[in-house]
Amino acid sequence: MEFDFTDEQIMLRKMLREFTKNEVTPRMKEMDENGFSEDLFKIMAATGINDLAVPEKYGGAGYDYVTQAMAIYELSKGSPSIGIILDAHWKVVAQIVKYGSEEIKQRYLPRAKDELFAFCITEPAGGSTIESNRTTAVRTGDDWVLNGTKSWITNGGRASVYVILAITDKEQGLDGRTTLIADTDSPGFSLGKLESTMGMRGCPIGEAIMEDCLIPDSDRLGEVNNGIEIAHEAHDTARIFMGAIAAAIQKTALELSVEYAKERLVYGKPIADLQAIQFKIAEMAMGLLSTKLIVYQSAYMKDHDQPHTREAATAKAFGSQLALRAADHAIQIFGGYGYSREYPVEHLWRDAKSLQIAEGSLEKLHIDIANVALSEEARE
Amino acid sequence: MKIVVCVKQIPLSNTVKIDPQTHNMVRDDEEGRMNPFDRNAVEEALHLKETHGAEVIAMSMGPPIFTSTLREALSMGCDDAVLLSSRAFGGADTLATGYTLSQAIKKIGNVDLILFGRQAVDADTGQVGPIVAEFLGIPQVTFVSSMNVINESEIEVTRFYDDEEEIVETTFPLVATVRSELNTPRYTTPLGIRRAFRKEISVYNETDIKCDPSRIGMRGSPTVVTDTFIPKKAGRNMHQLNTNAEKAARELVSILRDRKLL
Amino acid sequence: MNRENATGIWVFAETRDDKLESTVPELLAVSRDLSKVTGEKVTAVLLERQDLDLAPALIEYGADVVLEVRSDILGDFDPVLYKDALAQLVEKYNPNIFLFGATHKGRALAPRLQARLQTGLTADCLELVIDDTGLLVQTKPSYGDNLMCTITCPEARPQMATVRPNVFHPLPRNHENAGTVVSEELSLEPNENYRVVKKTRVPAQVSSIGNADKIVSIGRGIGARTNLTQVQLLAERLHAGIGVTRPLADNGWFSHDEQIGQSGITVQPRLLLNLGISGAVQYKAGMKNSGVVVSVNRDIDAPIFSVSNYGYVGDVNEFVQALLAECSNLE
Repeated sequence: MEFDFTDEQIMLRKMLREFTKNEVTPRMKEMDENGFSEDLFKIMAATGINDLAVPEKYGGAGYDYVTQAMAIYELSKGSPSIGIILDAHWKVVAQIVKYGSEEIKQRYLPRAKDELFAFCITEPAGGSTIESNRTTAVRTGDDWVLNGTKSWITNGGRASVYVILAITDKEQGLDGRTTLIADTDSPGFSLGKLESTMGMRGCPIGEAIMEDCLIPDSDRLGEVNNGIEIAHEAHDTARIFMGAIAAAIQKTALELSVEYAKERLVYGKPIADLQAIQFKIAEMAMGLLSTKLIVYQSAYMKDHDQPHTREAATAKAFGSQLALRAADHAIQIFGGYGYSREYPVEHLWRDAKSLQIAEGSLEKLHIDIANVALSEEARE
Repeated sequence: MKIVVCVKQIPLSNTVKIDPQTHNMVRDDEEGRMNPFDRNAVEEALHLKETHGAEVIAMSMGPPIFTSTLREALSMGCDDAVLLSSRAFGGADTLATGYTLSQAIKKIGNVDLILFGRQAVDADTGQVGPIVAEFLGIPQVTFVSSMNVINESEIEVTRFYDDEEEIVETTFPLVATVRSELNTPRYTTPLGIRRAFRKEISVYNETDIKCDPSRIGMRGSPTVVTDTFIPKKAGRNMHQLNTNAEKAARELVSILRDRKLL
Repeated sequence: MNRENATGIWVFAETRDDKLESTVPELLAVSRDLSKVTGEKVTAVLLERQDLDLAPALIEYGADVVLEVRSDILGDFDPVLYKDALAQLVEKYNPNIFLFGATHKGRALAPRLQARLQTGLTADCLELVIDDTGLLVQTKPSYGDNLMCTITCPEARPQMATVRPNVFHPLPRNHENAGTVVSEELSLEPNENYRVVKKTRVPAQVSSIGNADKIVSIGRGIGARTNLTQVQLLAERLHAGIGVTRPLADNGWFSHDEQIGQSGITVQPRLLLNLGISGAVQYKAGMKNSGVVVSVNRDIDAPIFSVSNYGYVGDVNEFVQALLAECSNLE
């Protein structure tokens, strides 16, 4: 079992840290106030970050999932919004790599550098429960005609490539879903309203409306009626990455709290000397360590084609709870300053909260994990 | 056009260990970083690669751990990297370092431009560039803030220091030491890093480059570090002003007026 | 060249705008101190155009001898040409010590000459003394703070050093000084492959603080960038230049030409106000010759206070505001 990063990963990490410090952190507040940063996105494209996950054959750097998770962790320390943008982007890259035909890979993967991808499951009526989806895709000659609305799309509104999960055979229930790739140019495709969210405000969240939207069969991702497998693949990928974001939030919360606790004097002594503060610090430290381990283990298993649904779900479910708690502790430690929008502390709580809702709510994940635990034979 | 960029790996942090016997910095086992001015040098070389199809070789002299900075230079886009490393090179002062580098450059051959950062921010001497120029018998331009290649044998550079700017026309081959105003160094990229780790960094020792053993390493160093010490405190007895800001300001203004400083 | 028979303390008399460069009197002052110990003569080496005559000034500043080479091809600074000229003189006279100012010319020329003569050179010295064995001991600060290095050049000659400007105080100009001027004829060929096309004075956005009489110096303790506005106002009020510590140059808020310290500029203002500076050794090295030092830091244990005449322990921005208000009251 290898727990160290390779020299290559260490060099990449060094570059990402520098990039985060110089380009991401200084823009964090502005993104929190004004939304998606075109400026930063361009620099990320130019620096080869957007297509870090794309295989070399298609122009990217071709790094594995452990490295992708590390990249999201590092960048999220500057702004969790960037983490979530890349999470949504790279989960589509992963889907295309795994399920796309050679032709689809050649057409779409090179676009990952300068454009954004999004995956669309959720609909206005029914949250992430795929069962309650209503968007349909009907085969007409060489094309599919889509009708329906997808909402709460991460990167929605700014992405140019949208992977839509649609019903292709109602009779088969969950086994009658197919994924189709739409473009903002696709006839009948339009973008709806943008959400205004509590946190992760640097990441656009939008809606896609399909009214007799025409998608050629050559833009179908994967086999007909195999959509559910592709959707689950996306969940697994995204949950690992969200675990990485959760770890980054914890790391930031811990670092800020430690620095502050050592400087802030009360009755002539730093508050770091007080047990109440120390206990919070300890919880943050333990949470961070645990989250990172689960994240990297899940990514490692994914890299080795091992089933990792349970691990990925845990990374997100457990990580997001720890992240929210860490953010909460940080605000407490900072006291009044923690509550002030002038300080880079309170946003951590707002950003962390999203991790408990998006990509499968906390509650749903608990059910998923319980199902796995109850149904499978012990693996060890 | 063939360019050699000399880069130095400097300590990451402020804590430096000194060997109590040689009084030289202990460099091994330490994660380092590329001297910031060297990044400007690498960037300029890569710019010339883009505009003039130059071949760029990064070079460094030091212990094996210096490969990490050379790897970084490769990740930025340099074509090749050479490390000059050997026990025999150790303990070199600027003269011995300059000699070793110039012998290696001679070995590479047909080099048109040798770039250095204006100084290394650890030792801050800025001497090695001019020394190499002298040993190679070629012109030098230091503190370069802009470079403009006229043709394959001529170049115009701007030198800038303090408040004086000088435009110089000179010829290749040339040694140039560059300032941070010259350009903004590019980041390494993930793909660049991938490719860099597939490249092999050549390592040369004293037998690989033709050199006179009496001119390398400690033997070839006319200077000797005799001592290192913590500087004595300046010995001012500080008078602490009032803890209230307004009162302290008033106190200070009064003092400064008395001393004719206001 | 080696130790036997090397004699004489030489100073490179750099010129700038047809006058002596300001470090030259400082170098002559140091050389006079060294000569008190070694008993050697102090020689200024002057390369100048035909129409200039700076030798008398050099004698007034302390040179016993001026070795002068006058030629119009020396009008513009060409490091190779100057090096050739100096090398010829060194080989003829075999000096013991050769000092240069650590100006851009000095920093370009001295190492080139060092390589030509295969001798030792220490850059940016802050202190020069002669030890018991007669060797020149050169002191320079070394990265990694908390450390000063002393360096010697036991065998090779001349012992060369470039000296940090504004560290040593020049002797007052003395018209009574006596000295000899020796004219040297050298065969010098202009360089075909090096030509100075144009020279301009760049109107510095912030004029060089190396010569500033009063300086307000800013460190990381200032906090947010928005706090700088107040400080700039204060500096204007005090007619002071602005200097910074390294972090504020590295982060791009200021340029390295405004940075005070070991790898930046050495200053010797009559008044130095340190705001939010902890006082790392590299910084202290750049300001230790200041007149009155006033420092503000919220930490009573900050090292800066050990080199300050007056200190305010508390919030930097509060103090700046209070001082600004107090200064306005005066007007």
